[in-house]
Amino acid sequence: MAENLIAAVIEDNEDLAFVFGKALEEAGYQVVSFLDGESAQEYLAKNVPDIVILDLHLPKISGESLFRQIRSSKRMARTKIFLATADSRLAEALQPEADLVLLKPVSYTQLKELALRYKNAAGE
Amino acid sequence: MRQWLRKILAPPVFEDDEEKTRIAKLLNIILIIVMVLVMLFSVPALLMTPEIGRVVIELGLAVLALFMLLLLRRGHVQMTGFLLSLILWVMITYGTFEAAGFRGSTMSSYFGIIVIAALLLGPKMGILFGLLSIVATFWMYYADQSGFLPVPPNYATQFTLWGEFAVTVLGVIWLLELIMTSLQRALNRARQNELALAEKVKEAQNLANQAIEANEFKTHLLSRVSHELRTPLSVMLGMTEMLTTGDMGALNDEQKRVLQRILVNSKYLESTFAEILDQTQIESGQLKLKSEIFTPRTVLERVYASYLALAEKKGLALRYEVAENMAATVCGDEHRIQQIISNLTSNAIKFTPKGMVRIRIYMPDDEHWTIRIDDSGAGISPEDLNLIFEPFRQVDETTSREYGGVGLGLTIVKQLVNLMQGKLEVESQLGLGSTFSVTLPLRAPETVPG
Repeated sequence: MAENLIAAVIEDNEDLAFVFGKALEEAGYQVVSFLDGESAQEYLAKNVPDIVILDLHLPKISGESLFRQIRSSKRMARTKIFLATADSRLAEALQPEADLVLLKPVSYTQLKELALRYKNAAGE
Repeated sequence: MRQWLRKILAPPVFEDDEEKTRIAKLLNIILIIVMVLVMLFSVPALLMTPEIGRVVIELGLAVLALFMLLLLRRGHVQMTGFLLSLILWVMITYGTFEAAGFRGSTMSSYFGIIVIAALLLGPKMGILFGLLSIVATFWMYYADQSGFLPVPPNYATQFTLWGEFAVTVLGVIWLLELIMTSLQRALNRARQNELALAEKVKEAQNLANQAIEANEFKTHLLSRVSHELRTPLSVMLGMTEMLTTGDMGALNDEQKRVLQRILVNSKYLESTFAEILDQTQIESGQLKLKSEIFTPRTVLERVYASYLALAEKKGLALRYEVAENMAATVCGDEHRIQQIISNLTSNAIKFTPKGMVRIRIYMPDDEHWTIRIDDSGAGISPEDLNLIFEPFRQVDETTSREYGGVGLGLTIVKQLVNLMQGKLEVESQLGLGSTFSVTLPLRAPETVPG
């Protein structure tokens, strides 16, 4: 069951999305990446990822708006949200509802280890 | 010729003293008028009736007027004014005596001399000449009663008496007019000065506004630039780390060493941007401290864990201690307090070549807790103790590359401690090491009841 965990990386910087995706892949997740809020929203309407790595400054639909949508959806009640942002003030405001706040620059090793820890916890 | 005349006739100008210049101008006019009068009236009169006594007096008057003009040109305005008043007073007194005291008209000229003295030398001198004139009047009365005043000259008829009186009155009116004009000018000058001052104040306000705007722009720019640079830096750091872990394929030792250097330098850049961002936020008052309950021991453990490798690499013993009396939880901004401990610890490791670095927390009293960082480093000289909290003070730039920061670390610590209404103390002895202590209220100021 743990083999099928899905991580959605929603990050408008392609290179960062690649780094996050690679860390999550290494941790054993199946990774889907989105470079804007709109395509992520379309995906989330039909799918329930286990982890969402969410950048807060996104084109089209903001990360904050996506964050609220996920949190208010019963379907995604078990979805973990990792906020990845350089905006510490916005992150602080959302921190109580987020599962983790990763302040950019996010360490590759750290993200990999955290994702692995969540995966193991989910598998238990 | 005209220029030469103008040069001769022009009064001296005192650039730093307008009042002095004004009086010099007045004296100049009076003295020139005296010279012209002597030329116009005395010379023809003398030519017609050459009397040796009068020649001496008139010539003496002309010489005195010339002497005073020279004195004025030398800048002795006060002295010239006094001399002129005194000479006029002597002349009037002599004239009054000659014109039979009260029976003549000359005595009324005393009023004129008082006005002139007051105008040229100030009210006190006006009073002095007034007193002198009163004394002279009494003496004149006494002389009249005693009968040793000369017999009034024949020409002193009623008609000449009134004529002389009219001239004196006209002179006084002219002087009063001079005073009024001078007062009016002073008033105008004061108004102009007031306007100029208002203009200057406005100018200063504009400059101050410009400075504030420029500072805001600088803060905004720095914050924006640091923010924008952090994104590509995140990519570089992430990708380098990714390669270092071997997740993209095995690496040989040399490749690992190169990647390690990229990582160290990228982290240096990152900590620099973080420092600049913090500094600009503190400076612009945007930094808001949180007030949350947290476990100081956990913060201490986190700092210890993140600096252990660095300390061991230098062969230093890094230790931490939580005093028995220390409260389990405190209230404050956990992230910023961790930043204070991290900055001080990193600083201690940076400047300690061998020995140990120890972090301790304890409660000096019931309402405060203290973070104390001791090291066995090189120590700080008393002269440098005042400088270490100033921005951009890096003793050795090569070491800063290894440990991060542009020299804002201690400045930020000091500002954060101030914002937290805490106290920062440093004790140091050259060669023996340093101790940095930060004492903070147990409860963040915002949460203190009442």
